[in-house]
Amino acid sequence: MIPAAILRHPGRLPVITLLALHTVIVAYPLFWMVSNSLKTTQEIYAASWSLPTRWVFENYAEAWVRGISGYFMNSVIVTGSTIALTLAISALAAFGMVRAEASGIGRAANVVFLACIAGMLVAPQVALVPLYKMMQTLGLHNSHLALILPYTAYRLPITILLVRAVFLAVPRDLDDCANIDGCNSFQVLWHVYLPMSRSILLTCAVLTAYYAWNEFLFAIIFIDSDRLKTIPAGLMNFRDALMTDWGVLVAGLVIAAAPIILLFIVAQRYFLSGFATGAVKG
Amino acid sequence: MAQLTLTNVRKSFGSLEVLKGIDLSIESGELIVFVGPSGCGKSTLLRLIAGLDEITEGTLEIEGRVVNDVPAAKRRIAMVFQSYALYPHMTVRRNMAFGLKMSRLPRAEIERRVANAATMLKLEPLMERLPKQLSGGQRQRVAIGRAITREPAVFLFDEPLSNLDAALRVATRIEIAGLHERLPAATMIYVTHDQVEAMTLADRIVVMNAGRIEQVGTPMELYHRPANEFVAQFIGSPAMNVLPAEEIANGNFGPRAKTVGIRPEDLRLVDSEPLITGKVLLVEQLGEVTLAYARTETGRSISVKLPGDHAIARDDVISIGAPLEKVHCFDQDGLRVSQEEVLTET
Repeated sequence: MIPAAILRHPGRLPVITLLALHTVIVAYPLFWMVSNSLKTTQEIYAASWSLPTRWVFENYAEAWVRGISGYFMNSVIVTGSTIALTLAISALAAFGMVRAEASGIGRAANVVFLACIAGMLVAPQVALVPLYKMMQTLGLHNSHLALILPYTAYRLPITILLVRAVFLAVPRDLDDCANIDGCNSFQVLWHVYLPMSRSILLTCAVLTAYYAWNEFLFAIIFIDSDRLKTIPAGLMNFRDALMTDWGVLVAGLVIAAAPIILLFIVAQRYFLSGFATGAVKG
Repeated sequence: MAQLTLTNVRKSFGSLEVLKGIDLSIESGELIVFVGPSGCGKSTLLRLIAGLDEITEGTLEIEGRVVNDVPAAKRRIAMVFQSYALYPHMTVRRNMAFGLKMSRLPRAEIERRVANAATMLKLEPLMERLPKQLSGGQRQRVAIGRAITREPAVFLFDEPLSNLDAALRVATRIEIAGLHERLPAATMIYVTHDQVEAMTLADRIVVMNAGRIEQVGTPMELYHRPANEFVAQFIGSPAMNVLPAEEIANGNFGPRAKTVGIRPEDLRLVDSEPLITGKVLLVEQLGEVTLAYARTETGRSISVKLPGDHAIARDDVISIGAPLEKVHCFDQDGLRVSQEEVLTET
């Protein structure tokens, strides 16, 4: 039976059909992954499209003890640090720019802003060799910092862009009021601007997490030690080490993808509103 | 001793001088209102007193202490903003307590002050609400309550009623007047462009124009004895009619009087010996008064405010007179010519 809502607005039918198709395209691979992570390798080869005949939860336990746990923790450390550093620097930079504009040195603030945004134009592939040399010179190669610092640098432009747009909408009177209440500049940022910008900060945290968790190029080049590898790089070794144990490998993929999917689901409400704010006020 | 003294205070933004030497003394417990047209510098002056902008030149003393370089938080002032400036992520209670918390007051003292302010403004039922859950009038009451909790030496109000509708404006105005009575020791400085607010609230009014003070006085002083043409026309609604002296019939007001001002409410319809005659352009019947807008023979616009109903119609020619003691004269520089001098001449 056709839902009444569609009958009232038949023009929406193509849109709904398209969105339904899109949902299938996005959701089915996830379903396939979860379904196959619960099968033996033989069953995957025999019937990869069907549901598992026996649910092999052991695949997850085995993936975890065979190395995923270490990669997972590395990813948590790198992603968590990148988010913290990116948000801290972006908030301070955006606040500085907004304050500078309010104090009548808007032109200088705009130059700094453009310089920040210009960072978006540099592709990671272009910066790979110089960054590699830099990491070696600084003695950071093969450490978590070798990922955290470039990841932060690459996330700063878009994060500053979004946070600044929201900060610009904070009424000037609130600044003045906080000054009268005894806040210094940092306290104004901490007590007024940041709490008022929770949506966009959470949005930026999700986007940064998505980037840092899944980044592959820097992760395989800047880290040599298996002990320090993050999940995307680690899974490469994982496959080689496990050879054809596809059930365990797919379980590893589910473990790798799960945190970001969960983060999106939990933060969805803030994510959407924060993104809308950034888009409109920019 | 004056609570607050401004001496030759100037403020420039780049090459633009916004305040051109302000001298003013405000007594303790006074409610003083700054009025003037947009861009006259009244809000800038308030921001200088608050410590939100730096004084370019001159000195500002509060309670006998020069505070030019004292940060806003340490000036013992509290400010109520036109936009309320409530922190949107804090409840009413947290909004009111925030400044006190930043001053590191003991928790018990913070609670006492917040409770007192809440009782004074009947805010108790709203204390756990966020600003977005309040009406405009409630928000402004919270903003006033927040100012009260600071127990300041000087309250600063920056057009606090501008965002309210007409009915709430009157109610909040009465509330502020009541606050002034309940806190007799507190000095209050109030900025507005609404002369009704100025006339009804002020102990004294400071009329500003183009970065200068035109006149300081009680509302009735300003109304009855405006120091110059600008004040004469700014105070009163509709504005005072100002005409060249020679265009007033039989108008010998002395050699110094170049222009003559008569308030619309002082004009009367007369049968003989009119001061002015004019052709009616528009009539507004408001019940208690009739407003007539007319054009004189020399093409000048005048307004007449007559008590009660009057059967005047468009295109009528009206003869208008006024008692001599209600006539204000100004010299060629726009300055007031004393009433005695005028009466002697006539």
